[in-house]
Amino acid sequence: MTSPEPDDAHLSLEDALLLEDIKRLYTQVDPVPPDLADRVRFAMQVASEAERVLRVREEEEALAGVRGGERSRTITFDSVRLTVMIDLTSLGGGLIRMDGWLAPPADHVIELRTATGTTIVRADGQGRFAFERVNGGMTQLVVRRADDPRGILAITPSIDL
Amino acid sequence: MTELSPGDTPIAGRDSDRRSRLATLLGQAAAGRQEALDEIVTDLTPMLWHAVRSQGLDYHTAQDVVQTTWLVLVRHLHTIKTPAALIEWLIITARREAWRVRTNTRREEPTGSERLEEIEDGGRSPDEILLLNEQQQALWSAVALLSQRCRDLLRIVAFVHRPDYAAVAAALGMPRGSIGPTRGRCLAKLRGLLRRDTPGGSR
Repeated sequence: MTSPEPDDAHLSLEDALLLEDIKRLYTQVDPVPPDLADRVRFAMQVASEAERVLRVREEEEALAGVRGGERSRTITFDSVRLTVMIDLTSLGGGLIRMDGWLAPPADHVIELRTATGTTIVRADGQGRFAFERVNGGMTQLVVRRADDPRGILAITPSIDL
Repeated sequence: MTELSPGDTPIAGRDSDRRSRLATLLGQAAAGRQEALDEIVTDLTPMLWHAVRSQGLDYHTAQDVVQTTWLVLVRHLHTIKTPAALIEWLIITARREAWRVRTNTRREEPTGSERLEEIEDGGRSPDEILLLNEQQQALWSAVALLSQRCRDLLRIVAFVHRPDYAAVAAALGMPRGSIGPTRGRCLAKLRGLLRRDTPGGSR
């Protein structure tokens, strides 16, 4: 798997230049999102302790309510054993309210990580939790068991609020 | 690991330096140095982005998949010993994640045709195409005429260094030893298409 193939050594200069052209082309047509690597690095800081990584399964955006187009977004993160659903409502001034549910329901500890700090809440027995005022920007959720707060049950990728 | 043979072009020297740097970073990352892992992310995110986008995911979903792949890697890091193994693991995992997301999305949005177009064009927008110069437009049209297999291979290979071409091929399920000929065939086909396109014949 890792050994070189003999024929790989013979990349002609012509081929090498054409590959460079292809690289330039794709760099221009479909550039890597500028903050992607930063978001990865931020989210990775807690990944080594995490038992599982939740996947973003759906994201819905809707104009909710009758009060002047209040924006609302719903994101579902899931894995085989745990689903986290969050509902985001803009409060204006860059502030956001986050309401969340855990399934199956459990009174886990939910940590909200941002570039500037961490906020912690505990879900109730029905798995509901809320962060009442969150600043927009890069955010990640970390789920811990209440009886073992040092271990990490699950993390989400970082998302932009 | 020495992977260069006589007759290599000067580009190869730089590749070999980068390769040993990546091997060093990998060792440090496995030992728990966060900064080493951060550098690996900087180096290989472009490759991963193109591996995922070639699977036809939209801009946001592709970012989620790239991120998930890196997060999952952290827990597998101790099992990965060489840069080639790392590259192969990243591409395989990202493609599997992409496939998983697509299967989910299809189930939830049963509107067939729209989805298919998105997958075929890889999400490029007409504006971006207009920004290309004439030579790049010709290359873009020629690349579009290649088989999916050739297009994926060349797109990903363009973002790794030469010693890692074999790892890309392995990740794409091409048999060992076939990468050179396959890549050569794909490049030859591309050159043929370019010549047909430009009467004067470029490259």
